[in-house]
Amino acid sequence: MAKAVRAGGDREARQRPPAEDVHAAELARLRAEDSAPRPPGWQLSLQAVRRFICGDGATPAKVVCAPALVERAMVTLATSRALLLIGEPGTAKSLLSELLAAAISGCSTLTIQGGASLTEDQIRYGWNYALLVAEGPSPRALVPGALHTGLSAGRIVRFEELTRCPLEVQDSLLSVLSDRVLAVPELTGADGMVYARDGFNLIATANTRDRGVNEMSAALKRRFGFETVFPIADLEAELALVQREATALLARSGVPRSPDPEVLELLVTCFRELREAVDTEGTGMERLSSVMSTAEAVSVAHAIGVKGHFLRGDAGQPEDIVACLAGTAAKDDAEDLARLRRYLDQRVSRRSGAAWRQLYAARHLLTPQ
Amino acid sequence: MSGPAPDSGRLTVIGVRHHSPACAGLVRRRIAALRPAFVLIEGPVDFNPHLPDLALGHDLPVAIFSFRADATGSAASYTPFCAFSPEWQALEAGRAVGAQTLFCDLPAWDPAFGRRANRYADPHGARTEAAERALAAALGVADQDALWDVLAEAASEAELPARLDRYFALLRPPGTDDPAEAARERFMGAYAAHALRAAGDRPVVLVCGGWHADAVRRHAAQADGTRPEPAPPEPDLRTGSYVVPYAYLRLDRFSGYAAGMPAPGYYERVAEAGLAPAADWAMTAITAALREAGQVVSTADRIAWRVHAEALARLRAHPAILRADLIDAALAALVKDALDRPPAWAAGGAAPGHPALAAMLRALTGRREGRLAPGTRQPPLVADVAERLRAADLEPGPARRSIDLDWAEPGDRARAHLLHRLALLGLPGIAREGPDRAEPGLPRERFTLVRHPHWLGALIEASLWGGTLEMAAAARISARVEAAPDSLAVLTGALSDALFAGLTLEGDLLARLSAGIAAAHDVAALGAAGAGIVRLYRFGDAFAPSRPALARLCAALAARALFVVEGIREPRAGLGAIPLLLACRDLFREVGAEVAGLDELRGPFAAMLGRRLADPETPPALAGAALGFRVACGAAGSDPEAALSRLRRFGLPATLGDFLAGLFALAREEIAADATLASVEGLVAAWGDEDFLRALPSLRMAFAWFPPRERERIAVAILRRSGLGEARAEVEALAWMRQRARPADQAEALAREARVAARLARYGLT
Repeated sequence: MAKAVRAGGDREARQRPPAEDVHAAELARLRAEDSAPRPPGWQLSLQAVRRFICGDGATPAKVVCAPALVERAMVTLATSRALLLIGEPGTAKSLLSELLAAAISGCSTLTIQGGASLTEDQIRYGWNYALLVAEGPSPRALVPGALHTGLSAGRIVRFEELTRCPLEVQDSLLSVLSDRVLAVPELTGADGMVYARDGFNLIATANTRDRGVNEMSAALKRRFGFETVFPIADLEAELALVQREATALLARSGVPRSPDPEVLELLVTCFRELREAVDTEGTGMERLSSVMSTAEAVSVAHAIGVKGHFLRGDAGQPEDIVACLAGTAAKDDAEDLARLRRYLDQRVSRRSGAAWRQLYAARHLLTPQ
Repeated sequence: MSGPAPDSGRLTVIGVRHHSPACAGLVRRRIAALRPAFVLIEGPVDFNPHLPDLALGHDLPVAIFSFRADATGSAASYTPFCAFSPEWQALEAGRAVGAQTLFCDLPAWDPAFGRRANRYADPHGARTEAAERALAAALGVADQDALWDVLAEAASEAELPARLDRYFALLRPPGTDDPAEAARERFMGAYAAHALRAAGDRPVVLVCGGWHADAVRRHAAQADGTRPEPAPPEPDLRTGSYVVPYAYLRLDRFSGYAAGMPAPGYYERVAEAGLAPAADWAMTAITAALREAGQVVSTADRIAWRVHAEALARLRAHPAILRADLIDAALAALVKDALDRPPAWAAGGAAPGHPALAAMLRALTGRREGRLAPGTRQPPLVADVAERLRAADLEPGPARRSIDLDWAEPGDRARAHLLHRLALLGLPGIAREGPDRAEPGLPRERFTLVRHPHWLGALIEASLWGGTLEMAAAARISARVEAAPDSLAVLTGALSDALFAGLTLEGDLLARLSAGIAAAHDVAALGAAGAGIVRLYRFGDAFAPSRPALARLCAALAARALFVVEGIREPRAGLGAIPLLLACRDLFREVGAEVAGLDELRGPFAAMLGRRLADPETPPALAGAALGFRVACGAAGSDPEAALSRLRRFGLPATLGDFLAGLFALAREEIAADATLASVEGLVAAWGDEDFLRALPSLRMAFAWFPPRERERIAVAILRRSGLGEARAEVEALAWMRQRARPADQAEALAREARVAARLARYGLT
């Protein structure tokens, strides 16, 4: 037991288990039923991966997106290019990449988190300096990074927020992606070249709000297939997703009740209108520069549920939305708070229905007290 | 769900999707197998007497162009055919087996046909959309067109008929009525029943949109076999149906959500060679288009694209690479950017999401253009135009030729009328090069003329407007007036065009214009209309027959101006009044006694302007214009000296520019003595830099009324007054006139310099 905690953590107490653990049973079933040909190194056929992600009659889709996008993404991974998922923050790019890795390699944890401080060592390999000093460079002293492990084990490597890395770090991927080999010049003989085994590929994600893909070098761009992930187009689908995810999160936070459907619909409608800058009647309005993503809506729904349950003993009220919206909107841009106020004054004020009236009545909460 | 009504014995109704190669093949095979006595096709029944026209050996695509026109308006409808249209294949296959081939749908002029621009646009409601969405989701395809490819184009010959039946039954459940289409379906059904009776014991084939097939079968079973006759057109309705050349580009533009297939260039190859060769063609065509647009498509890209497309097709269990696989793969392999919006290449007109995607879709559309075979029946307008052009020696040739016309020459006037009429019809290859019509005096004009490949098609389609050139041009103008009966700008434009085209002015247009002038409140619109009308009047005997009517309009204009100018309060409206007062100045000064009623207005007009001039509330531009008007028309007490005293009253930075703009606009020649300019200079010299910069835009506007030569002369005078020698002043003035930097930038620079100087001064650094 003590060993298990050290190695992987107590399974029950883990805040967020990886996709291959959450969906272990389903993956096993798909593997058992899968008779279609598999690309070399893949644990499932493309058809089975599609069923895993887009759902079939029995299971719901795990990501709300066009099936064609998933198909293109899989084909890119099965051919010689790496996959780059681009999109606004909170459009489930990372979730999609996690699901793809879990389905294809049975492992979604070979992850590199991009950032300004990322160095090449963290991607490729580093050294156990005690051993290095004692024995000199040897395979024992080498500490493999995610890329090294992915190559040698033939697995999908995930690279989150690729465009937030310095350009020279990005470009260290070039030789690996084109020659499919990682040189370790410190080692001699066969250990000096790590050849990619079948099944290795890379899924990177990039965010259109950060330094964009335009700054990526053309050489690196050429080695990626680009897929843009968009916010969910359909209100019903988004509502169902927020409902499902928020309920699960609330359960984990010890809140036994699911969010109030009316409050949730209000919340999702507000988020969609502010994101798309078009209200439900089709009239144009101001766009918030803050990110009004589905993920953000889920976390607001979560916060409302927690607040309602633990502070008042209800499932959340429309006025809680106003307070949370203020927090969301003020994240990026103070001007957004004014836009939000105008939205409440000009659009919400005209809507009928008790919940909308309550939302409007709570507009004073936008002003900090 | 009950299945579609079965074909009753000898009648075979083939429901098709328009412009679908798969359906075209099905139609061809069925007709060859059945060898029917009649092949009936969804198409205008009034064209039946002219069916041999379609067999003349045209280069496809062509369309049957049908029109209806009466006094209240006109409408056109197209029935397009390309080589792989099921309807075209039915025509050819029917002829090949010796069947009697006939169109069996209502004529486009029938009221029940409605005003549909494309006969082959199948109805599409919320229900069909939901059905297609559900079907697409079940089959894992993205849109309606991809769905069709999977269902029909990729189906084997044996499977196709059953699939079509189920698909169309899903879109419109068998046995349901569509009120909007009922009349057409009843007519086609009755025609089928009639053909069955005439065919004896031989079979009959009817080809129509899949939407109608079941209803046509039902109506055919109920009809009694008499030949249905369309209601005769109303007596004053002009109708016609002619073959016109068509183009893939136009065909694709029609293919909104409701109509036929997209990408005719691609489907032409599908029909000719099959899906796999069509995919090869499409990849080459798209690569060429992208490279032509300057995009890099490397060989490695093409390999990746090909692999991707093959893999997608296999993943989706398609027998070959379909259009959706092709574009999906291109999206993944060729587009190296984030998209702005979800990619959409389904029919429906939504922007495709990326410029490269748009270029790909254009490449798949293809550029094929149809051409009519010699000897095709043509509407009378074509012969009328050809005859007139020949008589005037103006036939368009392969090389562009320029034609210079002088309205002072009566012979040229007739030619000008002809060319203006052709230009009114919007015919390609004919263009008026100039000059700007605002020039005073009788105009000289230049036209260019060249034989354009679309000339004949456009001319046939223009016969919608009338059977002769004069009639068509007049109808074109009437339609413009009908579309905007209250816009003075449109009415004046129509008047001008009608006069230049030598058309008799219709009482309706003149009545509308006088009413519009009499009720106008917008000073600027009235001014623009007035300028146009006065200019037309001043062309003199070029428009001799219409001069009395123009004179009446001029008098109405002056009367209205008298009323409107009295009420102007806003500074902006003051500026807007300048063109109106200019028109009135020309009227009173140069036309005068010729126009009845004008002389009586002269006194009141000058008096009104005098009142406005004395009124301290009058906007400065209007005051300037009023003064200018009085000076120009020699009103009592208004001489250039009086102008100088007025000038001082408006000599503030906020008002001087506007005032001068009005003054210079109306009385530039009379007022531009050096005394005036010296006094302006004196006023401006007294201002600080900031005041000057504030007044600069309106001052520039005021001096813009001077032609460049005169502006240069003024510059010299100013420089001389500042003490420069004559030669030096001229050189300097020339430099002022030829400034490279924009004056606005210079003003900005001056303003910044002033701010710097102020800041330096504040810190004691000067």
